[in-house]
Amino acid sequence: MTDKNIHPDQLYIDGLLQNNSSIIQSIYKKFAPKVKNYIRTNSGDDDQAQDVIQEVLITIYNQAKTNGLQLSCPFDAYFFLLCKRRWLNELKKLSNKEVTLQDDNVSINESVQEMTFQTEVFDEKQSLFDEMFQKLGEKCQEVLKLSFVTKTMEEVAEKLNVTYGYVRKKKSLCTGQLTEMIQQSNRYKSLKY
Amino acid sequence: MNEQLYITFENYFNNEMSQEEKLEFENQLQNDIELQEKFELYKETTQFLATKFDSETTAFKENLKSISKDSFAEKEIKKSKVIAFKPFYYAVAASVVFAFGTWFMMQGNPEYGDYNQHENAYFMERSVGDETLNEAQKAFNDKDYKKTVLAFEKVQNLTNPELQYYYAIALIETNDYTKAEILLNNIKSGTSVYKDKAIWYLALSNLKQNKFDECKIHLNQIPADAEDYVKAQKLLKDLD
Repeated sequence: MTDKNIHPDQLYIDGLLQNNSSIIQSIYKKFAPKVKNYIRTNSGDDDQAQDVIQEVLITIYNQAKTNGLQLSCPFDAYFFLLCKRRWLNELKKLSNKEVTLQDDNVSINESVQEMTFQTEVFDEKQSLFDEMFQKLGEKCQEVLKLSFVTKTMEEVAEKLNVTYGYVRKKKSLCTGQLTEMIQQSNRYKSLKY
Repeated sequence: MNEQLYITFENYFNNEMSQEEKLEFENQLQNDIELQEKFELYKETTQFLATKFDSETTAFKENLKSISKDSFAEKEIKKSKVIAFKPFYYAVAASVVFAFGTWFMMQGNPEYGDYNQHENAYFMERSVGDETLNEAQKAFNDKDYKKTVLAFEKVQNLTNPELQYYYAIALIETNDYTKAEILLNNIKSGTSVYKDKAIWYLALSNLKQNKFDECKIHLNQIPADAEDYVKAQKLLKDLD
């Protein structure tokens, strides 16, 4: 994608990535009320709206931080569609409850759909990674966590009271094990195709 | 599990291969689709872990949570204004405010407002005649921090740690934390008398943003012979 295609609203993505409080506040001020309104008129309440908005913003942050995220459409439409679809999924999970949906029949711009799709795929992957990480052995979880929180592998070795060589090897093997668990899961297979 | 494979990946990412090994590995990658897939997934997994455990991610989530809470609470207050108040409600409201206030004073977190008594600036004596600095000093001592920032913005080559220090305080006051922290970190890594004071203000900047963990880290860095040591210890105790 060339720079020409980046929408000026990229500033919101960058603001999230830089943890810029005034930009985050302006997202809440400008874009949250519409989401809140939508969730309220579709069997939800304020607490649920608050959760959905927070989760969507964390997903956007994670995607921007992990892969880089270049917005090619207005933030408003992208953010609203993500929140809306997350809420619909939430409702499906609670599906025994009778759901009354207000259908807005608004045609959605192609680039908004594309952006939303990318973010949803990323989110799905991320939640798969998270799930598999929790299934790793305790020792592996500890080594991996430490090796990303701590500046150098020498310090990690010191903290765990093992040699540098051991901790380096352990890190590779634990990451390897994690990739194998991910690769073998059904969720990964359905993501790929 | 193919142990050697993952060790090779890790060595490759960390640039711990000889030129020869590297070329051979890259060559192998190009010709083996299955290997490519494993390699890509390993890379992706590493990126995922790096984001997950990055301290910036934790800081972002905490900040987001507090902004989200504030933003939703604000609307509640606005809504309740519509209700017509009767005298009885005033009494209830007053006692609720009182009870909440007492509770808050007893267990609430310490606030930036408890610590923002800044010392006055007197840097003009050294650069008599500089109108901009004079303006900055006056605005700062009048606690007009927006004006202070505007004045400092006009100063060229702001390399003096003392000036950087007062500029940073004004930036914290006007919520421009990123800029303030860059300046403070700069002073902190120098050797001026403002070195320890800069750490104290880094902690206050964290406190104002409700980043309590980072605040504690900074407080713990203030040496025992520093002017702000006692205040720092008290704040540390209050944060726990």
